Amino acid sequence: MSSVAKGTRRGVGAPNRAVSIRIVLGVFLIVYLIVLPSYFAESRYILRVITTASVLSFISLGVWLTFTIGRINIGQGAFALIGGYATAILSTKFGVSFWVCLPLSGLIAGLTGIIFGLGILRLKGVYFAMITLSLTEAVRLGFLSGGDFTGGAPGISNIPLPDELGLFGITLIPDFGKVDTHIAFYYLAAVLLILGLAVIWRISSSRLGWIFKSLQQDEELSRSVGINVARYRVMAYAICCFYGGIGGAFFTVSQQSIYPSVFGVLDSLFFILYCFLGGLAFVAGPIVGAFLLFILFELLHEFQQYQQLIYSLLMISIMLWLPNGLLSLRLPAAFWRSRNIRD
Amino acid sequence: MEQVIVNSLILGMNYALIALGLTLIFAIMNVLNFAHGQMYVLGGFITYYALQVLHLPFVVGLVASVVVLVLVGLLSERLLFRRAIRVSTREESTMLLAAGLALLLESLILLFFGEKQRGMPPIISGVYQVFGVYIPAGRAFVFAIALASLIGFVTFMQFTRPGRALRAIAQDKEVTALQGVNINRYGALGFGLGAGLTGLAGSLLATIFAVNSGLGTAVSIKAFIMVMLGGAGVVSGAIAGAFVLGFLESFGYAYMPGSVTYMLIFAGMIIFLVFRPQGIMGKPWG
Amino acid sequence: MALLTVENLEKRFGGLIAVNDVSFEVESGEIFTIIGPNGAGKSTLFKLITSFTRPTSGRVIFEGENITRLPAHVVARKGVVRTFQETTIFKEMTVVENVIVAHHLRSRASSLGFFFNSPLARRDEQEFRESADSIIEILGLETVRNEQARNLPHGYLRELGIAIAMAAEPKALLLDEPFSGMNPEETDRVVDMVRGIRDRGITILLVEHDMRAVMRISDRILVLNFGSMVALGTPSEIQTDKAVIEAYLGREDDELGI
Ligand SMILES: Nc1ncnc2c1ncn2[C@@H]1O[C@H](COP(=O)(O)OP(=O)(O)OP(=O)(O)O)[C@@H](O)[C@H]1O
Ligand SMILES: [Mg+2]
Repeated sequence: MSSVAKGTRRGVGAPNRAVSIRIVLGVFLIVYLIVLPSYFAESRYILRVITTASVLSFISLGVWLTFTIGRINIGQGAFALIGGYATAILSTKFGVSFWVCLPLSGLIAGLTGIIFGLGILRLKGVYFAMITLSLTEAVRLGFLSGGDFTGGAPGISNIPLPDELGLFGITLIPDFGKVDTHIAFYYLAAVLLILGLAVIWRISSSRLGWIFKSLQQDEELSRSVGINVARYRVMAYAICCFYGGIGGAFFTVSQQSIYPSVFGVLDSLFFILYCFLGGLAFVAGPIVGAFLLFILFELLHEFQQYQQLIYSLLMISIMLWLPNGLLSLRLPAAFWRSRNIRD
Repeated sequence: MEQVIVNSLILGMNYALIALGLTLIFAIMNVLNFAHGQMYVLGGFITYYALQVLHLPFVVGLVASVVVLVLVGLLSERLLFRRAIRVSTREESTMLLAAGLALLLESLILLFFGEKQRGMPPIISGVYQVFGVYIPAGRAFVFAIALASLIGFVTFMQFTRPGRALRAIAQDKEVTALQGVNINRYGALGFGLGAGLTGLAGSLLATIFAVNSGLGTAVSIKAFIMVMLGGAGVVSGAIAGAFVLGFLESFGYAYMPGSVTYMLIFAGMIIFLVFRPQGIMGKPWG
Repeated sequence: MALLTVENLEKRFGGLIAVNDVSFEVESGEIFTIIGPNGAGKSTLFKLITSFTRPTSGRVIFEGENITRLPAHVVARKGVVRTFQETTIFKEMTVVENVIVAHHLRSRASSLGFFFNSPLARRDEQEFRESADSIIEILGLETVRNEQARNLPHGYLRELGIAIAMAAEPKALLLDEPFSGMNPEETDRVVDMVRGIRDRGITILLVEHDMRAVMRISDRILVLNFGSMVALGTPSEIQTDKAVIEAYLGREDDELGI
């Protein structure tokens, strides 16, 4: 009944809009999954840039979810490290297959997130930001001083590539060593990102998303109507950490090595920046942000020692002139409107 | 043992300057200054440059560091933070802006001063012996200047008109604004002072520990630890946090590898804050 | 048996005793009002009953069960729901979204069910929407139904607060100064609304300064001063109680409405 009312309020354009979104999404998928990888098949560098941007987007999606419960999370680097080391240790020391390591790394990071989250999620605002930042450092130092188990400063190397994944003798995923490794990692990253986005999108548009949103706006009020605040905020944080862990495992296996400083405070900040540039109000925000900024950063390679300088100036400009993100620009709305008129 | 205590006092005194700067900026502007460590490094490099390259006396280097950093603070407030606070209500945006500023300062420092670690000989040579403890004269000198600055700062905040206005703003911005105090001007003053304090610390500690362009983030993190331990936005808290960290660090380094020390400090701090989120001196909130 | 029993409740903040040895019983279907000067401990008492803060000592018994140390959301689940003295709403949601979200306690689907949009979750959603619409209708919020809560005119904010609490299906509803900042006409409307809620079988505990409204609406009144009970009785008993008049002595007479 009320959905009808909603529909009329938005005007007759609503169904068209849903169709348009599907078309745009379809085009994006075709470009992402078919056009790009075949066009750049020979250009490994570009493939690698897109692959990295995909996984950075994936990790940032988790950070975005913690924004929806009203927390500024500068600790995602820690969980990428945890996931990365989990994969490194399991695969080199225990010979576990990557296809087991990958979900396991996510779970280990998620469980660690639950343990930390139970304590630190009591803090809010700047305090939560500072404590998660400290967490990033603490975890880095932990791996640095882990002795033989973590390999100290040089970390762990010679991590095997993903092996064949088969079921009843049928090869589902080929051994990465026997195919074009770059293409293989490209598709692994793409699948992760698409799945990751779908999950976060589902969460944020289901009742869970509304509960998270209510926590963001007033935890006391949520509590007063019977919402188990502690449970849901830990849930959001654990999912975030899971994403971090999976992303970390991916980088570890694609670099075939890991060391304590691969993910630091700056990376954790960048994840937030990606979310911000894309726009916090949009599920796709972190993806837009990560792709733009990471590709930009790569392009700035040309400028060598000025790379960081230019990047920082850009970052400052974004915060000054685009505080609500790129997707907040009115461009899309105008686009939809013009379509509707033509229809 | 006594030696370690003396070291931690010297360290704590200088850390107090850093933490006070951070807490001041936080209290006045509600900005978490991620660029604090880079400001410290800049202070250190300016003193190094004045002494080792231009061969000027230490006083000139010290004053130059403070003056430049005060200017950097004033300019950042005027050109960046004032606008960001106006256009966005989210505290994340000033935080990221500060992170951008940190990157900017770091790359500028790298361009101007290079990536080498830079140290210098002590300002005063010789060693004092007090109750069987050896105190290098250079360190005693640094301690004395830091102590004097700390007393100066607290006196300023306590007994002067602008100091009282700053404290009032830290207490309650809206009420203070209603009383006709120009918040913008004091925001700039707070930012300038905060940056100046950390520049002073950078200048002083550069004579003991040397500086390099990559040190900034680590210093910022130390500053966050101190402010969190002590209680954000509270002057006494910043000082308390600084001495606690000074002691923990000196004792830890004396008996353990550095990375283990800091890992334990972090772990201890996180546990401490879970039970006392407002820190040692902070007021309970919520 | 009383619906809600408060036994020797005490709350200290450092040296300050905000609530001092308070005991009373609230019968089912009553409108039970707590009055007292500013800082008397009324809001603190509400927070203690709903478990938003822990008492220093004493017990709260609801439907024969000790709910004193249960987490706040569990107390809400038992049916004891409060509103807030300060305007507290989900600002970045529309009015109807505010009320829908607040239906949390009625949901039967699990988190996974929500995620996969199970039939149960869909049925929940449908029910919440219908129930939210009926609450909105009862409280007369239809005209602002799709308004962003942060843009609501002041008069509607308190009502939205009550609507949110109603969504949690309270058995006992604790209203903290629902008439504050309202003109007499608005107050009359909300007084009727509170009566209407009571007539639906919900027991009301009320904290209020507007004596005219309090005397009209309450079945019984508890007077607090400096955290302690001064008097407890019907409106007419309270209006003639010596201790009450003494406690209010020096205050404006009209505050008691006598
Ligand atoms: N969290 C707290 N920490 C310390 N003191 C508190 C706290 N909450 C309340 N108090 C004190 O307890 C006393 C009672 O406060 P309470 O808010 O319950 O009063 P009230 O009767 O609701 O007053 P009002 O009519 O102004 O709403 C006051 O003196 C108040 O300052
Ligand atoms: Mg009150």
